[in-house]
Amino acid sequence: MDIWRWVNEVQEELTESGRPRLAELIERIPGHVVNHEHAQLDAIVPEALALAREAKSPWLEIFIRHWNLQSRILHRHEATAYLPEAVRLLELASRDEARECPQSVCVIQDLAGCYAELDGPGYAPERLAVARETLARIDAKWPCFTCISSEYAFGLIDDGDAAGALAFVEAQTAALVQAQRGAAAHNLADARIEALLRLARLDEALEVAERAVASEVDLNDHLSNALNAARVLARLGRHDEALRELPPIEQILPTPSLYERWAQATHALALAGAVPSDWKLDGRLFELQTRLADNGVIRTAIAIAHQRAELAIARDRLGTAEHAAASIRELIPRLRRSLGADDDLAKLEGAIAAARDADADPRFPPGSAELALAQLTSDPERDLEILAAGRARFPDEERLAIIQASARRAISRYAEAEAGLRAHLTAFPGAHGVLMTLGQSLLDQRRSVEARELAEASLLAEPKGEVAVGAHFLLATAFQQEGERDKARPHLEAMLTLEPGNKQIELLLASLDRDAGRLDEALARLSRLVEREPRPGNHDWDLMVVATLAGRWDAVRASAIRIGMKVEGEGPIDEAWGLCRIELREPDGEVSIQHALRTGPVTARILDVARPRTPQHHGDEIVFEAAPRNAAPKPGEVDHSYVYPAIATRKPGGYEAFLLDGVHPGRATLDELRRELTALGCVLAVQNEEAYVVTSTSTGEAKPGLYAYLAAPEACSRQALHELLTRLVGSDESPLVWPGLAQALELEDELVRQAAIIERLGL
Amino acid sequence: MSEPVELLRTQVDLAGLLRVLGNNLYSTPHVALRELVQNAHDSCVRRQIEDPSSFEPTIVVTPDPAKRTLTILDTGAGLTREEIVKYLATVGAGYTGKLRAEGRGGEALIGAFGLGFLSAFVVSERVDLFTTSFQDPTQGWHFQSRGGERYQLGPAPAGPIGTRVVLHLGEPFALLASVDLVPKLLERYACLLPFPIHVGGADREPVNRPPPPWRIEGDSPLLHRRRSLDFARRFESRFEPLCTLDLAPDPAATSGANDGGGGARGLLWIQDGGTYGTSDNRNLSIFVRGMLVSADERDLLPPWAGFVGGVIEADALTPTASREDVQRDAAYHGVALRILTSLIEGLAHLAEHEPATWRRVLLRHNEALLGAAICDARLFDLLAPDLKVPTSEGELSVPAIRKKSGGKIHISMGEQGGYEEILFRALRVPVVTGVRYAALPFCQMYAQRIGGAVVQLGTKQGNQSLFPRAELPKIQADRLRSLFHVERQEVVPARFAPDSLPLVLVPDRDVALKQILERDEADKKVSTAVLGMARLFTKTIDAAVEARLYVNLDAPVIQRILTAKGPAEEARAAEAARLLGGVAGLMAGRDEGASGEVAEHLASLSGALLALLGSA
Repeated sequence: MDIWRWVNEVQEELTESGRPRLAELIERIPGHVVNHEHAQLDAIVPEALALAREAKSPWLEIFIRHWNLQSRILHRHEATAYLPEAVRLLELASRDEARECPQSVCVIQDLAGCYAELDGPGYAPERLAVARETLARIDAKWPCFTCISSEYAFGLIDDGDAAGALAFVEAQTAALVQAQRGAAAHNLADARIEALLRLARLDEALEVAERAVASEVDLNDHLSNALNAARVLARLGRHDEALRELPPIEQILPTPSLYERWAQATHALALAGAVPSDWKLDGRLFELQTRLADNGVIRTAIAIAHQRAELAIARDRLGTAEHAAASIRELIPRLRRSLGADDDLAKLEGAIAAARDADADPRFPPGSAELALAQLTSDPERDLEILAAGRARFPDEERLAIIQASARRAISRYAEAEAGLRAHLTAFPGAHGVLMTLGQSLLDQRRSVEARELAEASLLAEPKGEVAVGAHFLLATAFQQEGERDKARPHLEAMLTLEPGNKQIELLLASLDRDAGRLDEALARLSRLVEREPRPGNHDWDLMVVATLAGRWDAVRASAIRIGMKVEGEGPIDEAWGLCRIELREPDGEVSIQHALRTGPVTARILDVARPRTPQHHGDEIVFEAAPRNAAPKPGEVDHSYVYPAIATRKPGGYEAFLLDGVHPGRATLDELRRELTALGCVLAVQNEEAYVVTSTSTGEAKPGLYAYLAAPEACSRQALHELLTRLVGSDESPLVWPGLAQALELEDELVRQAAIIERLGL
Repeated sequence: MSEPVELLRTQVDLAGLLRVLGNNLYSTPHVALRELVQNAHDSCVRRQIEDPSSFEPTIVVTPDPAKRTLTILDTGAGLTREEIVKYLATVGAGYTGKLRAEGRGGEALIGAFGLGFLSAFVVSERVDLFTTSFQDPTQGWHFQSRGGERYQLGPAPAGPIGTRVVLHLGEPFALLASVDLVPKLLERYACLLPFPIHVGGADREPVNRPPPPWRIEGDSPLLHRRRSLDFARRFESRFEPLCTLDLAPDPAATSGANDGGGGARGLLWIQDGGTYGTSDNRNLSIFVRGMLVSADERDLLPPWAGFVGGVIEADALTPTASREDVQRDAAYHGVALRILTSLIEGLAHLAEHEPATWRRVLLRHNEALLGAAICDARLFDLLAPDLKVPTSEGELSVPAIRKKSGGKIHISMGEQGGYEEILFRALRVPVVTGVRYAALPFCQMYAQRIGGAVVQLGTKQGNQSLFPRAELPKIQADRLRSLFHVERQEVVPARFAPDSLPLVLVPDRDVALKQILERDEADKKVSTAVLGMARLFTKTIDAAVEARLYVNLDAPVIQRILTAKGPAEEARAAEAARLLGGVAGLMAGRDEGASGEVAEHLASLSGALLALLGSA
């Protein structure tokens, strides 16, 4: 069955049956997969799946989940994580209601692909059996014929039968030609090239690789072909051409299915000296190895480790070779079957030992930590050997431990860097530098729970001085990161006890108190700080904020005067210091920026009238953060005004807004309306520009329009307001409507009258 | 002495070439106008280079709908008879190519293929060209051709130096004589050309004025912004531009052409139209050497920028032979990268300097920006605190969610029977609707880059985080087990909110899967080898525990049950436990993977209630 024809039909059906969104997503998913647009795919898969379930379409569900697995397994090699999903999908695809789904065969490829990645040779017999059995169910007319054939060919290759694989690919190609699907044979190019490479028939492999370029349709094809060409050319010794083909690592990093071939090509080029074989390359290869191993792709991870070792021996970096060998030793038990992996490792270890023996320049442990440090170069591979020797001799020297961790990180050995620091800390709990290096690194990786555990463990030993301060700092920062600010407080206090007078901690504590509403404590703390500090500064601004919130105007004035502001009188400060803008944040996180009149050092009154039925802030007295959001005006910038983030509303304006819309009543009437509204304490905020025109839907006559928000204070009678509007602008000649107000007053007849106008004017 | 009119033949298979031009190379007849204006422009450039006398470079385009003609006049170099024969009528031998190849200041020249003039024949029944060269101002020439294959060339009275081309348009191309259309086309096609281009007469305002905003220096920021928006409106047909972002050559690069971005300059804008996350309204016009080559080069914009439009000029780009597209070469990728960087830097600048505009961008494109943020870490860091994701409590920013949920981000993937979800809804803790566009990956990235744990409801990890296991003295743990024990269920002492919820029963979906695939019936449904492979996986699942019963030690009712003393109290406690177990089982029965033994749970519930009623 032709899957794509089915997909096209389904899309049409979905669009016709009112599910265009699902149709659109179905259209997008395969494209994102084959173009390695992983993030875009991940953004739509959950939605597509939910819509398919809502539509009660198991076929579509299989389609979506299969393509997701194509990305997760085939391209991103997330074998361990997605094996359960592959099995689940198989179970779904074998239910009665789904068995006829055209994509149900492809699900088998997802599952087999998982095992091919986990340990290709180790699972070769099972993979071959599955592919053989599946091929017996389909013929060359099926689109999945090439996928399953490819899987079978790779199974043979992994089973050590490259010649058999090649013959099989030839036979399948012939079957495709016979079924008039010869063009689809390009899907077998990867298997053909791999088999030819194993058989060392390089020229033929190159020919296939070059031919494949013509049938590229997506990014996956393009990168695959480039990598195939690069590794064949590299093995042929045509290094310049290989380098031209080899994609940059940044392009392959998001897609682990490309790692193996990139590493093969790069390894060959580095051995030949066409690219530098150095610690940077080892770091990259180890990063690829680690990502694959983390994903459960063990056999390939081991292959890359061997490449690293071989390169390292060749450039006389035996420490790196040993590192690679050790990583292989750890990985082998995770293979399904060894199939020679043990022997290969033994051979590698033998080679390393032989090279060690031949090393004419054995390094002696340094005589002191200083000497070890003095010997360091800018080559982390070499440094790690010096550091290892130094650390063995001076295990308590924490500088060596910290530098060792940093050298390890430079070549992507992150887990070892962390383990080394942890081990040092276990042995020497008082190592402050190590504690902070490790803790900060955990916090940088947003592993706050582990950072807390580390700090708590360190506090168990009841440390003194900087270790204690450091541990509390880590705890406070970790809690802060977790959004648990109150839990950070006792740790900040503990730090202050250990370091009395630390201004930054005092300010932090004051801000915690302020945000938790403990204004008296915050003010007392800031007042002490201000008394202590001879110069005005941030502490004064912080104090003014808290004092304003607490209504302690005397304290606000005192700091304002220290800063050099002119504030006279007593009681609440209510100046007119010009326009500013206030960033207001609603409880849902919605932010608006509204014009306001600055009334004091950290206070402003909102001037804008917000749209009816949205949070209204007109007249709100706001306390704001003293530090503006935006930069100072550039020279010549004329329309600049500072934006301050609001902290709290000191006094709500208590306004409610209503819409006024319709034909402009004329300048004179509008002025009169405005005058009378002002007398009632209301504000009329005209929103439209001159160009606003209202047009009669029946006659087509156009008149200047008015679109305004009317903000009314709580104290203003809604009835009086309605009467005022009726009197001044309620005539039918130049009609205006205020449906919100009429609704609030539940004036049924009036609503009917206004609805007629709305319809007449098409408002 | 007058020279005779000659009938000459052009030097290639023109009929064939014109067919190709007409059918393939030039998909729209408007291109003829572009090409001829470009020739006129190049002619002016040539005269500036070669003619020492001063002149006013001017181009006048005159459409005449009554006569169905389009006239293009320039004050450029004009042509001698030899040049007409050599360059005008010889395909591929444009004079501009020669000048540029000689490096004689010809960088400003646009033409490259010498094909431009031929496009005139695609749209015309007859083409007249009158020209007087600066090299011989006393002699004019008249070239005339129908169809381009053969032409007449003869002397004409000398006119002002320059060239006048008159196209007698074919019927299907009458639109090119429209006085409305021609200025509009030129406003776009020729807006970057330096010489004034007038439509209808040299006294009219040039259509290519003012120049694009990035070529004007010394504007105030306000004026620059207004100019940019006006300019953007000319190119953005579907939306109002909300704001514009400048595209400037990389300041870190030493020379414009070598900055990897091909010295690209121009303008990008954010569209002021609400869109859905996956909407793709990208559009990008590109100019090469002052001429519009393509109005839809959207792929130069990053794929996530579905709400962005732009106009750029980048002379490093190479037009394809059709001149309606550019080649996807290294320069192309360099320009794409420069655009990406400028877009992100421009958005960051907006956030920093124009907060109100930034807010509008966020409001308009929240959903598209969610998708964009997960594609680029720089963008993510810029947007993370402000974008909103859909939750059970409405659209909320992630900081707002974390504030309401103790720093965590709970996500539901909408699986059926989301027990935990019901729980959270009851508690009014916001639960992110993970099935909506980009919501899940955005929250995951937030947790990774900024902080806060993601708790995906209905997953094993999610449950471990929601119902953390609590330590209990052995004696109490044993008691708990004996009270709530059910075959193949694990009793897990835990503490969670709310304390009014005593128990939660969560079936293990992996075990359910194992049971299905390891049953004999599976053999009939799945072929042998495939099933064998699937069973490799199910064999690794521990089937001892089919479900976990989390017992809330914070719940007063559980505390009461645990502290029951004496036979009567203990008996009541046992009945209460049975009752609670029944309720938990019924609630879990909503779950697809649960064993769904509803009748059993009902029986247990009913029995417990009877016992309690009996003891009352």
